[in-house]
Amino acid sequence: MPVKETSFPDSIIRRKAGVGPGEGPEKGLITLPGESDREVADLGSSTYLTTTVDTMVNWARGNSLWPLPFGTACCAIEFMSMVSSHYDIARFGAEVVRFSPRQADLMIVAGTIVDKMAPVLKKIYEQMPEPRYVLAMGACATSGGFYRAYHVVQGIDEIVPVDIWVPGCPPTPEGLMYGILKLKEKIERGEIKR
Amino acid sequence: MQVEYPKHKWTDKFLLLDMFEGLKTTFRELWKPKVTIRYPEERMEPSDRFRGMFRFSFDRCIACKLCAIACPIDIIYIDVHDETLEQPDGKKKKVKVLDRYDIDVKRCMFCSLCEEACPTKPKSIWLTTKTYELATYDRGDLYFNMQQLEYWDERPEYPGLPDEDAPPLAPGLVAANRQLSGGAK
Repeated sequence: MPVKETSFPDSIIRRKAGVGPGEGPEKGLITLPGESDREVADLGSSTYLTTTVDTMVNWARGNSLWPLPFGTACCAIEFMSMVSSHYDIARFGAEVVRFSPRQADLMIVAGTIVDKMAPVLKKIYEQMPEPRYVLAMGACATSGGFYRAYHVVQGIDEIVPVDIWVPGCPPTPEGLMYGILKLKEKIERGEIKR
Repeated sequence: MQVEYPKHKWTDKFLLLDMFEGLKTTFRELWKPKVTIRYPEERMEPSDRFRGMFRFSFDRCIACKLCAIACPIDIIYIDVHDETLEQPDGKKKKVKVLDRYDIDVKRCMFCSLCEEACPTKPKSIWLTTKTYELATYDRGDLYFNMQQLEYWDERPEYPGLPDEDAPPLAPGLVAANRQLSGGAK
Protein backbone atom coordinates (compact mmCIF):
# COMPACT_ATOMS: atom_id res chain seq x y z
CA MET A 1 0.00 0.00 0.00
CA PRO A 2 2.13 2.91 -1.18
CA VAL A 3 1.83 6.44 0.12
CA LYS A 4 -0.01 8.65 -2.34
CA GLU A 5 1.96 10.76 -4.78
CA THR A 6 2.45 14.24 -3.40
CA SER A 7 2.01 16.95 -5.95
CA PHE A 8 0.76 20.41 -5.18
CA PRO A 9 -0.57 22.14 -8.28
CA ASP A 10 -1.88 25.08 -6.26
CA SER A 11 1.19 25.52 -4.10
CA ILE A 12 3.93 27.91 -5.11
CA ILE A 13 6.44 26.15 -2.89
CA ARG A 14 8.12 23.08 -4.24
CA ARG A 15 9.03 20.27 -1.99
CA LYS A 16 12.70 19.40 -1.85
CA ALA A 17 13.30 16.20 -3.73
CA GLY A 18 14.69 13.16 -2.03
CA VAL A 19 12.91 13.41 1.31
CA GLY A 20 10.35 10.68 1.09
CA PRO A 21 9.31 7.82 3.25
CA GLY A 22 12.27 5.67 4.13
CA GLU A 23 14.79 8.32 3.12
CA GLY A 24 14.69 10.42 6.24
CA PRO A 25 17.19 10.37 9.05
CA GLU A 26 15.64 7.31 10.63
CA LYS A 27 16.23 5.29 7.53
CA GLY A 28 15.20 1.70 7.80
CA LEU A 29 12.97 2.37 10.78
CA ILE A 30 10.24 3.85 8.64
CA THR A 31 7.85 1.44 7.03
CA LEU A 32 4.86 2.48 5.04
CA PRO A 33 1.39 1.54 6.28
CA GLY A 34 0.72 -2.06 5.38
CA GLU A 35 4.30 -2.79 4.42
CA SER A 36 5.07 -4.69 7.60
CA ASP A 37 2.32 -7.23 6.96
CA ARG A 38 4.40 -10.26 6.32
CA GLU A 39 3.47 -13.15 4.10
CA VAL A 40 1.71 -16.13 5.57
CA ALA A 41 4.26 -18.71 6.65
CA ASP A 42 4.99 -21.26 3.96
CA LEU A 43 3.80 -24.58 5.18
CA GLY A 44 5.93 -26.43 2.66
CA SER A 45 5.87 -30.16 2.94
CA SER A 46 3.03 -30.35 5.45
CA THR A 47 0.27 -32.66 4.47
CA TYR A 48 -3.31 -31.70 3.96
CA LEU A 49 -4.34 -32.93 7.39
CA THR A 50 -1.79 -30.93 9.34
CA THR A 51 -2.51 -27.73 7.46
CA THR A 52 -6.20 -28.14 8.11
CA VAL A 53 -5.55 -28.78 11.77
CA ASP A 54 -3.28 -25.74 11.87
CA THR A 55 -6.03 -23.56 10.48
CA MET A 56 -8.46 -24.84 13.04
CA VAL A 57 -6.03 -24.45 15.91
CA ASN A 58 -5.21 -20.89 14.85
CA TRP A 59 -8.91 -20.09 14.65
CA ALA A 60 -9.42 -21.47 18.14
CA ARG A 61 -6.45 -19.57 19.53
CA GLY A 62 -7.56 -16.32 18.00
CA ASN A 63 -11.04 -16.63 19.41
CA SER A 64 -10.06 -17.51 22.95
CA LEU A 65 -7.44 -15.00 24.00
CA TRP A 66 -7.34 -14.92 27.76
CA PRO A 67 -5.74 -11.66 28.76
CA LEU A 68 -3.43 -11.05 31.68
CA PRO A 69 -3.51 -7.35 32.58
CA PHE A 70 -0.06 -6.20 33.60
CA GLY A 71 -1.44 -2.85 34.68
CA THR A 72 0.95 -0.44 36.31
CA ALA A 73 -0.62 2.90 35.41
CA CYS A 74 -3.67 4.67 34.04
CA CYS A 75 -3.85 2.48 30.91
CA ALA A 76 -5.22 -0.28 33.14
CA ILE A 77 -8.28 1.88 33.81
CA GLU A 78 -9.01 1.95 30.09
CA PHE A 79 -8.49 -1.79 30.01
CA MET A 80 -11.17 -2.16 32.71
CA SER A 81 -13.45 -0.03 30.63
CA MET A 82 -12.91 -2.28 27.63
CA VAL A 83 -13.73 -5.42 29.59
CA SER A 84 -16.95 -3.96 31.00
CA SER A 85 -20.30 -3.87 29.33
CA HIS A 86 -19.95 -0.73 27.24
CA TYR A 87 -17.18 -2.13 25.02
CA ASP A 88 -17.65 -5.80 25.73
CA ILE A 89 -14.52 -7.78 24.86
CA ALA A 90 -16.45 -10.96 25.67
CA ARG A 91 -17.82 -10.75 22.13
CA PHE A 92 -14.40 -11.94 20.95
CA GLY A 93 -13.89 -14.61 23.59
CA ALA A 94 -11.36 -12.59 25.56
CA GLU A 95 -13.38 -11.81 28.65
CA VAL A 96 -11.70 -14.30 30.99
CA VAL A 97 -9.22 -11.98 32.65
CA ARG A 98 -6.64 -14.10 34.42
CA PHE A 99 -4.32 -12.73 37.04
CA SER A 100 -2.23 -15.86 37.04
CA PRO A 101 0.24 -15.99 34.16
CA ARG A 102 -0.07 -19.75 33.97
CA GLN A 103 -3.63 -19.49 32.69
CA ALA A 104 -3.22 -16.57 30.30
CA ASP A 105 -2.47 -16.28 26.58
CA LEU A 106 -2.17 -12.56 26.04
CA MET A 107 -0.22 -10.22 28.27
CA ILE A 108 -1.47 -6.66 28.06
CA VAL A 109 1.33 -4.44 29.34
CA ALA A 110 -0.61 -1.35 30.36
CA GLY A 111 1.53 1.28 31.95
CA THR A 112 4.99 2.55 32.67
CA ILE A 113 7.62 -0.14 33.13
CA VAL A 114 10.35 1.24 35.34
CA ASP A 115 13.70 -0.50 35.69
CA LYS A 116 12.69 -2.05 38.98
CA MET A 117 9.57 -3.55 37.41
CA ALA A 118 11.38 -4.93 34.37
CA PRO A 119 12.58 -8.21 35.96
CA VAL A 120 9.06 -8.82 37.24
CA LEU A 121 7.65 -8.34 33.75
CA LYS A 122 10.23 -10.71 32.32
CA LYS A 123 9.50 -13.32 34.97
CA ILE A 124 5.76 -13.16 34.45
CA TYR A 125 6.24 -13.45 30.70
CA GLU A 126 8.35 -16.54 31.16
CA GLN A 127 5.73 -18.10 33.41
CA MET A 128 3.08 -17.90 30.69
CA PRO A 129 2.49 -21.11 28.75
CA GLU A 130 3.05 -21.14 25.02
CA PRO A 131 1.66 -19.86 22.73
CA ARG A 132 1.88 -16.46 24.38
CA TYR A 133 1.29 -13.03 22.96
CA VAL A 134 2.21 -9.58 24.21
CA LEU A 135 0.37 -6.34 23.57
CA ALA A 136 2.11 -3.08 24.44
CA MET A 137 -0.57 -0.60 25.41
CA GLY A 138 0.00 3.10 25.68
CA ALA A 139 2.90 5.43 25.08
CA CYS A 140 4.87 4.31 28.13
CA ALA A 141 4.96 0.62 27.30
CA THR A 142 5.50 1.34 23.61
CA SER A 143 8.42 3.74 23.89
CA GLY A 144 8.76 5.08 27.40
CA GLY A 145 6.46 7.92 26.47
CA PHE A 146 7.31 11.26 28.00
CA TYR A 147 9.55 9.57 30.56
CA ARG A 148 12.69 10.15 28.56
CA ALA A 149 14.72 9.27 31.59
CA TYR A 150 17.14 6.79 33.06
CA HIS A 151 14.63 4.97 35.19
CA VAL A 152 12.06 3.90 32.59
CA VAL A 153 12.34 1.10 30.04
CA GLN A 154 12.23 2.77 26.63
CA GLY A 155 9.84 0.32 25.03
CA ILE A 156 9.19 -3.12 26.45
CA ASP A 157 10.71 -4.84 23.43
CA GLU A 158 13.99 -4.45 25.30
CA ILE A 159 12.74 -7.24 27.57
CA VAL A 160 9.97 -9.26 25.91
CA PRO A 161 8.94 -9.79 22.29
CA VAL A 162 5.91 -7.71 21.39
CA ASP A 163 3.26 -8.66 18.85
CA ILE A 164 1.24 -5.48 18.64
CA TRP A 165 1.73 -1.86 19.61
CA VAL A 166 -1.14 0.40 20.65
CA PRO A 167 -0.09 4.04 21.05
CA GLY A 168 -2.09 6.68 22.91
CA CYS A 169 -1.94 8.19 26.34
CA PRO A 170 -3.98 6.25 27.26
CA PRO A 171 -5.60 4.72 24.16
CA THR A 172 -9.36 4.72 24.06
CA PRO A 173 -11.07 1.39 24.75
CA GLU A 174 -11.91 1.14 21.07
CA GLY A 175 -8.29 1.77 20.20
CA LEU A 176 -7.24 -1.11 22.42
CA MET A 177 -9.99 -3.27 21.02
CA TYR A 178 -8.75 -2.49 17.52
CA GLY A 179 -5.33 -3.68 18.60
CA ILE A 180 -6.70 -6.93 19.96
CA LEU A 181 -8.68 -7.50 16.76
CA LYS A 182 -5.55 -6.92 14.71
CA LEU A 183 -3.69 -9.41 16.87
CA LYS A 184 -6.53 -11.87 16.45
CA GLU A 185 -6.24 -11.52 12.69
CA LYS A 186 -2.51 -12.08 12.87
CA ILE A 187 -2.97 -15.24 14.92
CA GLU A 188 -5.65 -16.56 12.59
CA ARG A 189 -3.38 -16.02 9.61
CA GLY A 190 -0.89 -18.26 11.36
CA GLU A 191 1.91 -15.72 11.40
CA ILE A 192 2.93 -16.17 15.01
CA LYS A 193 4.80 -19.39 15.59
CA ARG A 194 5.99 -19.36 19.13
CA MET B 1 -20.49 -4.40 67.29
CA GLN B 2 -22.97 -7.19 67.00
CA VAL B 3 -24.73 -7.73 63.71
CA GLU B 4 -28.04 -9.47 63.75
CA TYR B 5 -28.73 -11.48 60.69
CA PRO B 6 -32.29 -12.46 59.76
CA LYS B 7 -33.15 -15.95 60.88
CA HIS B 8 -33.50 -18.62 58.25
CA LYS B 9 -36.91 -20.02 57.71
CA TRP B 10 -37.30 -23.70 57.03
CA THR B 11 -38.80 -22.91 53.59
CA ASP B 12 -35.55 -21.28 52.42
CA LYS B 13 -34.00 -24.68 52.00
CA PHE B 14 -36.07 -25.67 48.99
CA LEU B 15 -37.94 -22.56 47.74
CA LEU B 16 -34.71 -20.61 46.88
CA LEU B 17 -36.45 -17.26 47.15
CA ASP B 18 -33.14 -15.50 47.75
CA MET B 19 -31.97 -16.51 44.30
CA PHE B 20 -34.97 -14.85 42.69
CA GLU B 21 -34.26 -11.74 44.71
CA GLY B 22 -30.97 -11.46 42.85
CA LEU B 23 -32.44 -12.53 39.52
CA LYS B 24 -34.89 -9.62 39.74
CA THR B 25 -32.09 -7.33 38.61
CA THR B 26 -31.28 -9.67 35.75
CA PHE B 27 -34.83 -9.76 34.51
CA ARG B 28 -35.21 -6.01 34.89
CA GLU B 29 -32.10 -5.36 32.78
CA LEU B 30 -33.08 -7.98 30.22
CA TRP B 31 -35.73 -5.78 28.65
CA LYS B 32 -33.75 -2.56 28.67
CA PRO B 33 -31.79 -1.45 25.59
CA LYS B 34 -28.31 -2.90 25.45
CA VAL B 35 -25.47 -0.51 26.20
CA THR B 36 -22.78 -2.40 24.32
CA ILE B 37 -21.30 -0.73 21.28
CA ARG B 38 -20.40 -3.49 18.86
CA TYR B 39 -17.15 -1.87 17.92
CA PRO B 40 -15.95 -3.09 14.53
CA GLU B 41 -19.45 -2.94 13.08
CA GLU B 42 -20.74 -0.01 15.10
CA ARG B 43 -18.46 2.88 15.87
CA MET B 44 -19.02 5.57 18.45
CA GLU B 45 -18.27 8.98 17.04
CA PRO B 46 -16.05 10.90 19.46
CA SER B 47 -16.93 14.43 20.47
CA ASP B 48 -15.62 17.38 18.50
CA ARG B 49 -12.92 18.07 21.07
CA PHE B 50 -11.58 14.51 20.99
CA ARG B 51 -7.84 14.45 20.40
CA GLY B 52 -7.03 11.64 18.03
CA MET B 53 -4.45 11.09 15.34
CA PHE B 54 -2.54 14.01 13.81
CA ARG B 55 -3.24 15.56 10.48
CA PHE B 56 -0.80 17.92 8.82
CA SER B 57 -1.19 20.32 5.93
CA PHE B 58 1.93 21.17 3.97
CA ASP B 59 0.28 24.05 2.14
CA ARG B 60 -0.80 25.87 5.25
CA CYS B 61 2.42 25.39 7.19
CA ILE B 62 4.69 28.45 7.34
CA ALA B 63 7.62 26.56 8.93
CA CYS B 64 7.74 28.72 12.06
CA LYS B 65 8.63 25.79 14.35
CA LEU B 66 6.28 27.03 17.08
CA CYS B 67 4.74 23.57 17.42
CA ALA B 68 8.15 22.02 17.98
CA ILE B 69 8.86 24.59 20.69
CA ALA B 70 5.50 24.01 22.34
CA CYS B 71 5.90 20.25 22.42
CA PRO B 72 6.68 19.20 25.98
CA ILE B 73 8.60 16.09 25.00
CA ASP B 74 10.20 17.36 21.77
CA ILE B 75 8.91 14.73 19.42
CA ILE B 76 8.30 17.09 16.48
CA TYR B 77 11.35 17.20 14.24
CA ILE B 78 11.50 20.04 11.72
CA ASP B 79 14.15 20.92 9.15
CA VAL B 80 13.84 24.10 7.10
CA HIS B 81 15.85 25.69 4.31
CA ASP B 82 15.50 29.13 2.73
CA GLU B 83 14.65 29.62 -0.91
CA THR B 84 14.23 32.68 -3.10
CA LEU B 85 11.14 32.71 -5.25
CA GLU B 86 10.40 35.07 -8.12
CA GLN B 87 6.94 36.56 -7.92
CA PRO B 88 4.85 37.12 -11.07
CA ASP B 89 5.50 40.89 -10.84
CA GLY B 90 9.25 40.42 -10.93
CA LYS B 91 9.97 40.88 -7.21
CA LYS B 92 11.97 38.33 -5.34
CA LYS B 93 10.70 36.85 -2.14
CA LYS B 94 12.42 34.73 0.46
CA VAL B 95 10.44 31.80 1.75
CA LYS B 96 11.11 29.00 4.16
CA VAL B 97 10.63 25.53 2.79
CA LEU B 98 9.97 22.50 4.95
CA ASP B 99 12.35 19.64 4.36
CA ARG B 100 11.28 17.48 7.20
CA TYR B 101 8.29 17.41 9.48
CA ASP B 102 8.29 14.22 11.53
CA ILE B 103 6.26 13.30 14.57
CA ASP B 104 7.20 10.40 16.79
CA VAL B 105 3.60 9.35 17.49
CA LYS B 106 4.60 6.43 19.68
CA ARG B 107 5.83 8.86 22.34
CA CYS B 108 3.01 11.35 21.94
CA MET B 109 0.57 12.00 24.78
CA PHE B 110 -1.90 13.87 22.54
CA CYS B 111 -1.92 17.04 24.63
CA SER B 112 -2.75 19.23 21.60
CA LEU B 113 -0.29 21.95 22.64
CA CYS B 114 1.18 21.93 19.13
CA GLU B 115 -2.24 22.66 17.71
CA GLU B 116 -2.75 25.52 20.15
CA ALA B 117 0.62 27.00 19.25
CA CYS B 118 0.01 26.90 15.49
CA PRO B 119 -0.42 30.48 14.22
CA THR B 120 -1.99 29.72 10.84
CA LYS B 121 -5.70 29.89 10.24
CA PRO B 122 -6.97 27.23 9.82
CA LYS B 123 -4.41 25.21 11.76
CA SER B 124 -1.78 23.35 9.82
CA ILE B 125 -1.43 20.66 12.48
CA TRP B 126 -4.56 19.43 14.20
CA LEU B 127 -5.66 16.48 16.25
CA THR B 128 -9.43 16.64 15.94
CA THR B 129 -9.56 13.89 13.36
CA LYS B 130 -11.66 11.59 15.56
CA THR B 131 -9.37 8.68 14.78
CA TYR B 132 -8.05 6.30 17.38
CA GLU B 133 -7.29 3.19 15.32
CA LEU B 134 -3.54 3.40 15.62
CA ALA B 135 -2.39 -0.10 16.54
CA THR B 136 0.46 -1.49 14.43
CA TYR B 137 2.39 -4.72 14.15
CA ASP B 138 5.67 -2.85 13.94
CA ARG B 139 6.86 -0.06 16.17
CA GLY B 140 8.59 1.67 13.30
CA ASP B 141 5.18 2.31 11.73
CA LEU B 142 4.45 4.76 14.52
CA TYR B 143 7.09 7.22 13.35
CA PHE B 144 5.27 9.46 10.91
CA ASN B 145 7.00 11.68 8.41
CA MET B 146 5.48 14.62 6.53
CA GLN B 147 3.82 12.64 3.79
CA GLN B 148 2.43 10.03 6.11
CA LEU B 149 1.02 12.71 8.38
CA GLU B 150 -0.76 14.24 5.44
CA TYR B 151 -2.06 11.10 3.78
CA TRP B 152 -2.96 8.40 6.23
CA ASP B 153 -6.46 7.74 5.03
CA GLU B 154 -5.66 4.10 4.34
CA ARG B 155 -4.41 3.59 7.83
CA PRO B 156 -7.48 3.33 10.08
CA GLU B 157 -9.31 0.90 7.86
CA TYR B 158 -10.14 -2.40 9.38
CA PRO B 159 -10.93 -5.23 6.96
CA GLY B 160 -13.89 -6.40 9.04
CA LEU B 161 -15.84 -3.20 8.53
CA PRO B 162 -19.18 -3.43 6.73
CA ASP B 163 -20.18 -1.37 3.71
CA GLU B 164 -21.23 2.20 4.18
CA ASP B 165 -24.59 1.48 2.55
CA ALA B 166 -25.39 -1.40 4.87
CA PRO B 167 -28.36 -0.81 7.14
CA PRO B 168 -27.60 -0.14 10.81
CA LEU B 169 -27.58 -3.19 13.02
CA ALA B 170 -29.87 -1.85 15.72
CA PRO B 171 -31.80 1.13 14.39
CA GLY B 172 -33.59 1.87 17.62
CA LEU B 173 -30.43 1.91 19.66
CA VAL B 174 -28.17 3.97 17.50
CA ALA B 175 -28.04 7.27 19.32
CA ALA B 176 -27.25 10.60 17.76
CA ASN B 177 -23.60 10.39 18.68
CA ARG B 178 -23.26 6.85 17.45
CA GLN B 179 -22.73 6.27 13.78
CA LEU B 180 -22.22 3.33 11.56
CA SER B 181 -18.55 3.25 10.89
CA GLY B 182 -17.77 4.17 7.35
CA GLY B 183 -14.08 4.56 8.03
CA ALA B 184 -12.73 7.14 10.40
CA LYS B 185 -13.15 10.68 9.17
